[in-house]
Amino acid sequence: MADLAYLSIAQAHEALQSGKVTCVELTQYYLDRIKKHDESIGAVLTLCSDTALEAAQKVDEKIQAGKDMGLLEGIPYTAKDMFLTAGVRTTAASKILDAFIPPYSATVIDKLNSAGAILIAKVNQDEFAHGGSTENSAYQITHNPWNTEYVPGGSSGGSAAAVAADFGIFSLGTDTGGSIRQPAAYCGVTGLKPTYGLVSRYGVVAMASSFDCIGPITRSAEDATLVLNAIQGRDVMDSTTIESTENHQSSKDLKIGVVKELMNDSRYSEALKAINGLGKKNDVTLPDGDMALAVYYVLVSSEISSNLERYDGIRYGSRNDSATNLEQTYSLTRAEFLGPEVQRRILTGTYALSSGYYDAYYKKAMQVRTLITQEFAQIFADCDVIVTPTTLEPAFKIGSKSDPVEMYKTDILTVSANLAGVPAISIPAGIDEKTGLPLGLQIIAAQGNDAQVLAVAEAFQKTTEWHKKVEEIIQ
Amino acid sequence: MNKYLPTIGIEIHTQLATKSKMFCGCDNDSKTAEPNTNVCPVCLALPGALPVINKGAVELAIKLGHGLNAKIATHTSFDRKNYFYPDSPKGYQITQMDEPIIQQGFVEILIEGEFKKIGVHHAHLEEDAGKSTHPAGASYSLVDFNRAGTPLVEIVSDPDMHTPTEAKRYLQEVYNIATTLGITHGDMEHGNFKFDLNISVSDTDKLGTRTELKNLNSFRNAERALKYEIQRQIDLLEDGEEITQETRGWNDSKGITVSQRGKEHAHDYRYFPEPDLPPLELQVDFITTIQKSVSSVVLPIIVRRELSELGLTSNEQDILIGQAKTRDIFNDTTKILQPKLHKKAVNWLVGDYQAWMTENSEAKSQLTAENLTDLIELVEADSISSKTAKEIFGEVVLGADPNKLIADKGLTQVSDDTELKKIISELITQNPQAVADYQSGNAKAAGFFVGQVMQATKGQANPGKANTLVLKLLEAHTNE
Repeated sequence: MADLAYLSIAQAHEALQSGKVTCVELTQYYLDRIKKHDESIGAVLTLCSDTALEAAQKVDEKIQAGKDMGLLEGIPYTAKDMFLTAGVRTTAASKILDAFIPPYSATVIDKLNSAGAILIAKVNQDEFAHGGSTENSAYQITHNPWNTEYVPGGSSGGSAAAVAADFGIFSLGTDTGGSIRQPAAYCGVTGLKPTYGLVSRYGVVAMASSFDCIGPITRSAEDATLVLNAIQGRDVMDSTTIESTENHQSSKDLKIGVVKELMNDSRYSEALKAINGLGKKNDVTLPDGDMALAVYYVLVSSEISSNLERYDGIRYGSRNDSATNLEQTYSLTRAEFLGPEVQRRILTGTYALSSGYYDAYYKKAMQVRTLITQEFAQIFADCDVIVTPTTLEPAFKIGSKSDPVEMYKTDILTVSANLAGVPAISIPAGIDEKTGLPLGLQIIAAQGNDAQVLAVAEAFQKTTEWHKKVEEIIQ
Repeated sequence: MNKYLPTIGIEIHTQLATKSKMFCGCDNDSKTAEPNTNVCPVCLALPGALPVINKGAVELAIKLGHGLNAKIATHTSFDRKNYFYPDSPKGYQITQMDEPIIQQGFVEILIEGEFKKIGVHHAHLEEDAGKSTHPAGASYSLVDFNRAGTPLVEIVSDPDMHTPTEAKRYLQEVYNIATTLGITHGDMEHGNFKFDLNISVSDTDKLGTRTELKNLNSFRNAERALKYEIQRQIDLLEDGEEITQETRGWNDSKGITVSQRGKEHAHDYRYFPEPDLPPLELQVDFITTIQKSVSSVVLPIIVRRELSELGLTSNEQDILIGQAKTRDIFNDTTKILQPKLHKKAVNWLVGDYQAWMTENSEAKSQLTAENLTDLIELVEADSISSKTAKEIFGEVVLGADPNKLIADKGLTQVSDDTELKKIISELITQNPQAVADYQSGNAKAAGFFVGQVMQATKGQANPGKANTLVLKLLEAHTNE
């Protein structure tokens, strides 16, 4: 059997197609790896061994029959526990969905299923994706595979850790304010937040409807492209989806906007050199980060307060049975089964939408959101992509950020892309010498220019090696 | 008491006659479904489920807009109305707050012979909730989500009505428009058409404090409830008390309105734009096409204007507008019956015919315009008496030809002067006492003779003619 460690999609496809490895062997490799290493990582919430091996068996039969294989056929992957998977427990890492087995699957899960990809595990996250470290999971803490004293980031921390630890070839995450890019940066992997609406949200537990984006976490931009191709496009079940677009520009006369005050950081000097080779640089300024963060939390909390009203203990999910009347059924159930950060956001959002406060908070924030979107449009009139660090600092130690606002600030460079609905990717672009942890570079493009973002990321990874460093961390 | 002017505004919730629900593909007809069987992830609000606007509901709203003489917004959007209740699966209702699909219309109602315009402020699309039941004595409640997601249009009037009758007429008119255009099945007993009434009274230019009478589903009760509530408010003001702004319910058996405030606080629904649905941009061509599809439908107001010109009362109009088949018979009759007799046709259709249908059923009716016309003309020509006509009407409704009927039964009216004179002369001879009474000035005595004539002819005498001849012969006898 060939060496299966850290295979790319293309490599795995070739190995399967050529018979170097069977799909059952490949799937078993990841299941074994999870068994061996997840005790120290804590990425997996629900393992899907039986269904995965069954699916793998079918792929092997198809290969033996000499049939043509799609690129994702037989490719094992994991999904954040936000994605509904028919018959497989889906918790959003919340106790309120502790025993929830969905009767239907998310559109993206169905799409990957039809493409032949094999779901091997549902992975950890911050509860309802509220957080930036995966410490807010109601079930377990996930550790950063680079150094288990550190967080993997969040909220898609389980996904990023799983990809970094080689628990599957890719993972699906969700990104509302940076929840794919920030953990990808912390774990030294590649994470794409597509244009808002490019990937269907149907069947994905909602956090903030006008922000939520679904995207892949992979070990390369090349793999991210392959996964995006399989999951993108208009879905009749999600009215906010758009047709997929192909507007890949040649990188010859690429204009790269560099946020100087952020990139003038010695830790990124090597990365900047690599960027020099990709196109023409010019200086740009991003919309004010503090303002973006404030606007983001007002709007996101508002939508959260409404989206999470359905978790009332009436139709499904956990319920506190000691209640003696309706109001208690709600208050006791939600107090017992929703975590503190979730409750904090529900309260914040309820306040922001209340009569008398709506104009000052929600409405004002919406106006600023429009301005930020316009600012991005102006920036992209002069350049094709913007590059910034994904985060100001690499991963922090587990338990080191007890102040929620400190935690919110880890999203300061990522939330703007969600406010404006533009595509952005985080790719490995350096190592922080002090901690030995990876650093992420964020590449942002105009709405619909996802192919541009991916092309630049791929070009960057052709001339750099940081995205391969992850292969050294767990042997 | 007349110094107080009542002001009434109405919100009507009508369930749309679409094939599927407002935001999902579930069947919009759960009449025969077991509880919680006509549901899906969307209308049960499972995690991850998203709404998709039902095009059919939008089309019906556009048609309704045509009937309400309203503008259809080319840009319309949805909002969330947040509240916790077990039959509200998402914890919010998707409705339209800021940019409703139907804007600025009006409905014309007939009040004391005059047409009055009642403004329609707007009408918007939204979804119904599930249905809660609280079994008596049980320690639990039950929720059926089959109804959750049923498409509704809420029609909000301007506060243009000032009497319970105006309010009732407005409700009936909107109902007629909505059913004529096929917007709703109009089954009021099953909640297809419900309304909330806002009512205040004032003796100044400023509006008084209003109360809201919620969840009525009968026109008659709307009128009764308003009458009661207006008087209640006036009595309070006369006693120097204040009106409390509150929601009240109508207690039908007691005939009173009752405060429903109880424990409930003022709701803060925390409306905000529905982020799962982009604004709906409607092409003008699309709107025009939909409206054209109903442009040939004869709206109630057109019928009402015609009937009004014929001198029909509002009640008579209501019957003809409410019964499509009866209206067809009437319309056909007016084509073959001479115009001065049209009112007679109305009298038959809103009188004896309605009585017949109450006793039998409309389905059994074989009444044709031709037979009705013949019947009216036979009476008009004195060929049969009105009494005879009424007697044979039942058979005419069942399809009998009046001409054939009276010929077969020998029911032709005795209008022949000679024959009647002969009978009367005999009666005068036989009843000297009655003649004497007449001569002494007792006018009733003449009536006695007419009665005797009718008896002698077994009711086939023309009563008018008999009366004339009796008087004439009595006078002649007296002067002899």
